[in-house]
This record gives sequence, structure tokens and C-alpha cells, in this order.
Amino acid sequence: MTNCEINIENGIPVVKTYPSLMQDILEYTGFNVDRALDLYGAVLTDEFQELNIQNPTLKNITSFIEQDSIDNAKKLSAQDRQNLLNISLQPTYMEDIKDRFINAFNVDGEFGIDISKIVASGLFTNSDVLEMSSKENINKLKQLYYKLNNTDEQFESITSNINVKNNLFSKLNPDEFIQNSYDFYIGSQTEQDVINKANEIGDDLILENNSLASIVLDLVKNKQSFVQYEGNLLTGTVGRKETNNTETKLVQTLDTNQDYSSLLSQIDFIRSRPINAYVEDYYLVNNFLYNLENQAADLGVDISGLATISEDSTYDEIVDYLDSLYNFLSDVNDSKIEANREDTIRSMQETIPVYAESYNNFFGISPEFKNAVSEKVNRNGVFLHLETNESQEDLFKTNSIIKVRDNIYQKITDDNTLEDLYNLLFANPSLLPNGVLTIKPTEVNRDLVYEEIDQYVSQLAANHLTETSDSEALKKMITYQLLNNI
Amino acid sequence: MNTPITVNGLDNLDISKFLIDFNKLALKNPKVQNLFYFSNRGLEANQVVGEFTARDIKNSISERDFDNLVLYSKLSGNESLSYFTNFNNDISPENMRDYYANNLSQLPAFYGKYYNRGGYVVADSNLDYLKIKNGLYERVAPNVYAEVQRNSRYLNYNLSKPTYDNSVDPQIQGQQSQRIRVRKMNNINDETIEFC
Repeated sequence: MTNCEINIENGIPVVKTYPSLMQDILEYTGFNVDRALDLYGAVLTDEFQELNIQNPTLKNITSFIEQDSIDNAKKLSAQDRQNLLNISLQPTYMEDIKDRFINAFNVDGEFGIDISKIVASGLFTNSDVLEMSSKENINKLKQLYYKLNNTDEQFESITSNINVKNNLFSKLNPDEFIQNSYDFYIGSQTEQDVINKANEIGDDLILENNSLASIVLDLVKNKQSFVQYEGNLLTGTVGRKETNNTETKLVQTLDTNQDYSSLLSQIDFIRSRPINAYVEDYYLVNNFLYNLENQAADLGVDISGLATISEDSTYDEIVDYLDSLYNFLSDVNDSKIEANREDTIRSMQETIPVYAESYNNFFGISPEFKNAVSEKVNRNGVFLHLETNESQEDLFKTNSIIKVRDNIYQKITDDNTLEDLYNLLFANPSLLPNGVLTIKPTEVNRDLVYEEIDQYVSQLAANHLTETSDSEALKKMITYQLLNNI
Repeated sequence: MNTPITVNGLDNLDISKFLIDFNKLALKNPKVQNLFYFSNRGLEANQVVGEFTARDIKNSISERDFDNLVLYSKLSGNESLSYFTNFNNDISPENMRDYYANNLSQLPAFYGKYYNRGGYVVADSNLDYLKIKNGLYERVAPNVYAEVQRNSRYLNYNLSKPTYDNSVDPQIQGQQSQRIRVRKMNNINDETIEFC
């Protein structure tokens, strides 16, 4: 026998200090060597030695481990909550999760791994169990087991009734499933429409689980996709909203009150390296660029992916971009106006677009648009999504849009006079609420009917009237809304 | 009668600073970076945020950052962040001026008696904020309200309290205690509003 504490002989651990204890442990664990080594290892820890137990028994070990775990089980950490959140994708409640979790890992009264019990709990799939095989993962589960056993802390279970697993039987974030349904399946009227669309876009999740088509259909029916618009803070114009607009991001997030000198010095160093440094010391340069990404992130400057993209870029492309970044950040440093970020940003309204263009070119950024999803508008027309506090009158006058409901507007062609519009209402009196017209709309009564229409429209318009209102425009706006059944 | 949201002791959120700091946070946290983006109206989510995603984010950032996100979601009134407002109901915006400027629909229209005088509105109300004709008015003196100058197209933050100069129209002071009456407008035949 060597001086080693533990030797594996013919697959069986043979130990030096407490050989009979190891024998007991092996019998207790059903000759599960890994588990036996874990248990025996506890005897060798400083904490156990401090107990001064001369001839430790199996009972001493299990008590020690349990006490140790209880000591560590103070309260759920954010990671514990995240683990429970992931598990809770099953439609279940906390007490249920808690009991089922504890039961799943309870082997002879203490934490243990029994695959059949874990799968039978319904909380984990076979693929989940495979992921548990590392010692690190098992330790996390073990800690969670003891925490749940020893805490009264509440965990609020999610209430989503969407429980979807992919073909690896991993549970999906229900919100991602909803978003995916919105992105691809809006407009579907039947389950077959959903399946046809899934075929068209190659959505394996739906194709391999046709039963999900009904869930998708439930999510998208009565929903409509609307193009989103927004005003541009720099130009004041209104355009389609982009989810990756570099200019916008800089305007909103550039920290004008911090010093970029250190970052500038780093950029200057790397952009000044000769071309052969980029060739001969490639890994050094790449590592430097990676560090530059992190340093920039600390300052809120997003150059994520610089090192990776540089691998496929020419020397000139890299240096050109670094030059533009350097010039931009130098401008920020030079443009600082004490305690007034808005003035600083305004003073950079020419610099920001120049840098944004350079950034977009280097990182290959092209505009990405995302439509908003809202309740369907059950009639034809061009509708758009716009979050704004602007008055309906201003939106009508400047953009020819009329409000349908919160954040949803209809684009109209405003090429009618108010009289034209009243003519249309005269011809379609059913668009007016009952009681508005007290006179039958006939040619003989036209003038009187116009008066009643005008009176009603004026009443509605008065709700929007301000000191600077254009009453004719307001009346037209109201009439367009009536004609569009809003 | 509208009741202003209860204000707790939480420090007022500096929206500009929040956006700057949240960007830094996102650059260090891929989960946050993937979910959010910046539009001209501030921070937005680029996918559906329901209970799972919201809790996922809650578990991924500090309690303070999450509280600020909830408060920001309330202040901005941004539709894509609305789910976050379900969390921490005890967190309410301290700066109701910014809150109402971005969430004017949350303030019921004022149908009480009022009249215009010297650029101010004199109203029969003791509320701090009034919504009159799509305008946000803040009380600057007893019964006297001035319009909050807000940007109707973009996110509003750090708005200043309207100033009040009673020397502009000394009649205001004398009339505050008088009975305030307003004639209901039934039609508009010209571009002026008549008050009496």
C-alpha cells in the first residue's frame, strides 16, 4: 500500500485512516464509488477533524453533512430563485415544487441522486438529468435541496399556462414562445395555416409538435401587427422605429460626464501599431482589442465584438474604425459642458452621426425593425403604432394620422374639405350615433342636417380644443374619425 | 376626483443617469443586453415581457437596479416595459411631474370649474396636477395652475416646475377666493375659447 489516503484497487476504494468506515460507506451507498468517496471526503475536512471524533461512524458523517448543509442554507440566492424559476415552467406551485424537488432528491432521508426518482418527480427530463452529472451541478442542487428543506421563504411561482418543450425536452421561456408566435404566425386563421407557415419557415418546434399549433393560434387570433414609428431626437423627423439605431443609442446613453482619456490612450496605442504588428503579433493585438472592449464597456461605450470582427477585417479597416472611435471620444472629452448633458449632446449633433456611420460600417449594422402587436382593428386601413404625448390635433395636422386607440393610429389621405367630409356623413348617416340627427337626411333638409352634423362634430372637437387650436382642422379630424368608425 | 399616486421615500430617479447606467449594466450582462434596446423614447424591450422574463431579469441584476427599472418603467409609461410595473407596487415615482408628463392618460381629465387668466389657469381644485385639454398643469399657488412645458414626442425627464409670477396679473390673487365658474362649450365657431 502507498502513502496515499485513498487508492482505487480493482475499482474499489481502499483508504488508509478509517478502512472499516469506508467499508460501511460502500455498503451504505450500494458500492457507488463516487458517492462513497464524497462521503468519506467529508471525514477528512478540517471542519470534521475539529469535532475530535476518534472513530467516526457512518452516522457521524451523515449528521455532519446535513448540519453543514443546514448551516449554509440561510436564504434563497438569486441563482436559487433562477433555478426554481426554470423548474417552475411546469404548471405547478411553490409548495408543490418544494415538496416535489425535495422528494426527487431524497435518498434514504438525505440528498442523493436516484435518476428514476428525479424523472418521476415530473420536474426534470432525462436531458435535465444528463446536465446534472457534473459535480458542480450536483453541489448546486444539493445546496438548493437543503435550503428548501430549511427555509420558510416563499417563492412565487409563475402563472403562465404555456408549457412548451423543444425537441431536446428543454423547457422554453413562455414569453419567447409568444414572441415567436407574434413574429411569424400573425394572420393565421386556422391550425392548418399555422402548420403551413411552420413548413414555410422551417419551424421544427411546431412541425415536431403539431399540437402546439392550437396554442399558437390562440395567441395570434384577434391580434394584429403594427409598424412602429418614432420621432428622432436629433432631427425631429418621424420615421420607422429601429431596435438597433446606433445614433439613438449614443444620444440616450453617452456618458458626457466622465473622462475618456485613459481609453483614448489605449486606442491611440493600438491604432498606432504598424501593420506588421497586426500580422506578426496577431494574438497579442487580438487580446489587446478584447481588453479594449471590456474597458470601453466599463465606460458605457459599446464596441462589443471588436476583437472578433477584427479577425476578418483588413488592417486599414481596423485602423480606420479605431481612428473614428478615437476622434469621436476626443470630441466627447472636448465638448463637455458642465452639468448639462443635453447641451453637450446637442453640440455633438454632427459628430454623433459621423461616428455612428463608421460604427455601422465596421460592425455591419443594418436597421432592424420590430413591429408592435396589439388587438386587431377590424377594418381596412393603414395603421401604425406610435407612442407619443403629442395632441391628436398636432398629429393630424403634421402627419395626417388619426387616433384609433392608445398608441394605434390610422394614416389617412387628407385631401377633402370639411364640406366634402360632411357630405360623406350626410350620405352615410348610420356612422353617426342614434339621436344626433333629429331630421331625416334628405336633399330638402340638407342645410339643417349639416347644421346638426356640425353641432355634433363641434361638441366632440371641443374636447380637444386649446387656445391655439385650429377649429377647422379639429373638426376635420373628428369627421375622419367618424367616417372611419372610430 | 383623481388621487395622486402615493409617494414613498425612494430617491427620485434621474432618468438620464438611469439610461446611462443601465447601458453600462447591459454591456456587462448579455441577458440584459439581449432583452433591451434604446429608442428615442428611452429604454424599451424588444420582445414580449411576461412573468418569466421579468423574473429572469430580476434574478440577473441587483435589487437596486431592478427597483430602478421598475420605477423607470412607471415613469416612462413605455408600453413594452409595462409588465415590470407589476413588481414592487410600493415603489412610486417621487417626481409626479415627469410621471404625468409621460403618462398623461393616467391623470383623469379635469372637469371642474376653471378659467384662464394671465397665462395661468385658476381652478376650483386643491390637487397638485390637473389635465386640461391634453395639457398638464401644476399647482403653483392655491387654486392657480401653470402648464408644465413638456416634450410631447419624447421621453420627459427632469422637467422644471412652472414658474409663477403673480405680478403678471394681480387679478389672480384677488380672484382665487371668488367663486370660479366656467361656461361649458357646446360648439366652436371661432378659434378662441370663451371663459366667464
